Amino acid sequence: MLFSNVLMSDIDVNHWRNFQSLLLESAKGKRRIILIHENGELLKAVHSQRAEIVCQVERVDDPQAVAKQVYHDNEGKADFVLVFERNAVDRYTAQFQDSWNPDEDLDAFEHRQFALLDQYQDGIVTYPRPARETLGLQWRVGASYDAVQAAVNNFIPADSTVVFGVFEGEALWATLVLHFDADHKASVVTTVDPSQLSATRDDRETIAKEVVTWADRTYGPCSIGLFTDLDSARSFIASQDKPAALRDLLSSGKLLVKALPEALTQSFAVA
Amino acid sequence: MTHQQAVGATALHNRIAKPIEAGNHQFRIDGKVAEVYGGAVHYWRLEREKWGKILDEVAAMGFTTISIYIPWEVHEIERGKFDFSGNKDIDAFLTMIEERDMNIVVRPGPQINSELTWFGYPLRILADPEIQALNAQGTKAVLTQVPRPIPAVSYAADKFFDETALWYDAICEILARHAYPKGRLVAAQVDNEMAFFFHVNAYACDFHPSAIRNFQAFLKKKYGSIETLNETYRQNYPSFSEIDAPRQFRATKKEEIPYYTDWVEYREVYLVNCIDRLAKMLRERGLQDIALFHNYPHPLGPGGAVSGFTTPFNLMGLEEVVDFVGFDIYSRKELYNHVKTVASYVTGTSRFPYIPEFIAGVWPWYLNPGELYDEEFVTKAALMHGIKGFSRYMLVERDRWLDSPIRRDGRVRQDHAAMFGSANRVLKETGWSEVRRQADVLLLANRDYDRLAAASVLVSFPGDFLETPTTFSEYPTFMTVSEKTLGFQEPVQLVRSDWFEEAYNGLTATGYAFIISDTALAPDRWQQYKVIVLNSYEYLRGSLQRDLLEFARSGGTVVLGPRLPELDERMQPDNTLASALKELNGEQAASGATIYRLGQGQVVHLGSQAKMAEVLEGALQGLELARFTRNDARLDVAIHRPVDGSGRRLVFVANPTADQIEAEITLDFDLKGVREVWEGRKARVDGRTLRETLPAYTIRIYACEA
Repeated sequence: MLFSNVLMSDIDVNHWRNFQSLLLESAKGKRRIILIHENGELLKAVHSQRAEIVCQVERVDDPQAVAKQVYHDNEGKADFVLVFERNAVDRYTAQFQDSWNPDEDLDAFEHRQFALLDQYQDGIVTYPRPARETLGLQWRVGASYDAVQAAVNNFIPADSTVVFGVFEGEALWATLVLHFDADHKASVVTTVDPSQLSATRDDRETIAKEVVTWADRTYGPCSIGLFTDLDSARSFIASQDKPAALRDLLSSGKLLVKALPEALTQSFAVA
Repeated sequence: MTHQQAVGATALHNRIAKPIEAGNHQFRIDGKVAEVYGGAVHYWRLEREKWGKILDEVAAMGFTTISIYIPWEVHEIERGKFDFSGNKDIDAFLTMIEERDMNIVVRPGPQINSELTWFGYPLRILADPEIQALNAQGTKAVLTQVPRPIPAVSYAADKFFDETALWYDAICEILARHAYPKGRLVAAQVDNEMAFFFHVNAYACDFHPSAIRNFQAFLKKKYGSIETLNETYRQNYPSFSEIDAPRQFRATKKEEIPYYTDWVEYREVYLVNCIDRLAKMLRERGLQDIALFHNYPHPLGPGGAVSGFTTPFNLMGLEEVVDFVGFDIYSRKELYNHVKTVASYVTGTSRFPYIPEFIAGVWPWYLNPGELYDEEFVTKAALMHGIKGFSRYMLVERDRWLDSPIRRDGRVRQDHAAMFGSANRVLKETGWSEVRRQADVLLLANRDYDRLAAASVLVSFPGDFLETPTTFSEYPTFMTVSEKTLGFQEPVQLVRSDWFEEAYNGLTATGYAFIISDTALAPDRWQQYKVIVLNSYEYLRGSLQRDLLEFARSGGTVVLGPRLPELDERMQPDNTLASALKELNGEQAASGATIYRLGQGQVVHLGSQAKMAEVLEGALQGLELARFTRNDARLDVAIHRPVDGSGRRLVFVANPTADQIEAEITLDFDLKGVREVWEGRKARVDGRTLRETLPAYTIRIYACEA
């Protein structure tokens, strides 16, 4: 999905920072209790901020149960508990690294790297949510990788540009501009360049219209241009039923649609 | 030529007078001090028609130097064939810089990262299984980066150097024409951020068969005979070729430590050797008269580490084969102590404290990018702790880089340009290259303990620009290292960083100015300090024990603890230090320290790290050390003085907190004609006391007349 030579130019740092805060969640930034063992022998148990923890574990024979117990014994002290069997971690990292091939897109590699965690359910354990949904840098888009890929293939015309905008008040707070090439690979990833807009202080309608015109002119035909406010963006991202969430936003007047392909228009209409 | 002869030859090369020299914290061209205040411009990513305008904008901000990555990946069109036309015409770009009376620093790789898809290599290099580095499990060692993951390259594989020679042949033919004195090319960076492709974890890389053979050769050189090695390892290897590298940390007792720490030490040597080999290739191709240098990556990120500036890095070892070495700095205002640590370490260790990549904008996959003010604060913090030259990365924005002072079409972000221009102006106005950071105390990280920490990580995982699924830093931390005591009173690999941090905080709290280095710093470099502070446990390198005693006998003060060693780094009995002190009558100080008068100096033994500030206060009293006092312990101060001994001074005062502080700083000299130089205004002084309101995250720079 991500083109090997993707263009990422003219990114506005504020839009980009805000966009990150909306969609990305870092496990590294979380409070976590870490247990490392080797074939059940507990080697260490620490809190990521060196807080005192309760750990009444002598052996780790049932890692899921141990993770759950430690989490509840330390209620409120940690966002999650992580139980690593050290040999399993070595095997896991060796396995996903060995799968590298130069023709594969980054997202496909990353997806496989995280999906592989499911095969190490006794060796790499987290609680309360499974490792695949907890560790690393998580995209909080409220949809699976396969669903996102299917949406790109089904709804976004080849060689077209997509713009998402989030307003706070009457100002653009975050934007994401993507161009998809003929193979539906993201060949441009950027934000709106505010220095190219004249309407940054006008009403949302005017700004959104100019953004779509600018995207169209700069990166090619704009097939989707969707704009909403920050609260609505958050609720849309959290929603598991994206079509329904979009319809709700539309019917409540919280979604500005400045461009929409036929396939998506029909989908809205069905509702 | 043996490796030892080769390194010796390189060291000799570095000692031979060249028109360009780095030393004594200065960069000199034909004996004259040159200011290396530079920034990066990527010619191939810009429209050629805009090169001139962009260079003019850079010069207008007061920069003296342009730093340039040169990408093998971009110039090679097929193996051994290169394109230097259009906006890839590096020759023309260099000429345009020379026409603007600026100096040039080039970075021709082979690895340059540069946010390029293939890290600067042609894809055929990465895809070649003979060249790919291996992890401890024997599979590829893949760095997840954007927009494509890449496998690490083995810099132990001869084939890699053969391929690199094709690139160097082509690019050096152009560079040599611009090398000083023919042109303004004054320095070249050899490779880039060489840290096993961020596979810092000791078991993540490199287990390529060539690397293992080199490890065996390293052991042979170190131990001389297999009998000596077997005696140390308590093993019965028939020959060096039978020794494999450790694939996991499995030590249970101290006698097993050398096998693991040798592997970690070898990883330092690996990095030195590959840079040495590449540096020789550059010299052989016409760059013999300019300075060669290297940049280690920012050692504290992502994830942080207390003394992550030591292994696998070895700055002083690398400066045996190139002219100078720096660490890159990207940081945030909230991470003042990280910036202080890196800058102080480079200042305390390098010939020419230079930051090869110094924050200006950010790459898109950096989480939560900072603001311009972060860059101002980090700039001042690095200068405060002694940095003398730098290259801003990136001065000119482009694909995969945002928020630089100049945009790719030549437009200038005026607020950014004003900040970077102010920094350059202050450096020129204050005669920055002629002043030195004043400090009498040298705080040493113990490289041998850091090696043990690196060796004792319980899990291995590769570097990851998007955040490793393990959630751990690639540097060893309390979250990843073994907790086994290995026969000591406590796990040295775990507690060593606590002690270092306590000493760092204790010295900061007392107001004694200190600089950081590590125990690999040659003892002759200790002579400029009055006090050395370091941690010591049951083992301490034998040569270090003797050197510390000598330092004390000749008038210095050594502060160490919590234990007096009985073993050397090979776990062989060595109580040189303890027995020398035992012969003396130690005095129990009120602070709890034991003071041993030795020759003209003293050794102060701190049995505990508790109340470190109080103990240091007592131990260092009466030594006439450079010092400051302040009304708020959260403030930090650094003083710089001219090398010519004149009485003028530059005083940096930092408020690294989120709170405004009404600061009162009292110095040990009279304050005259004090001016805050960044803002260009008079400061409020009263005798020897500076009074200022310091908003949150503020650093002020005061010029004081003689």
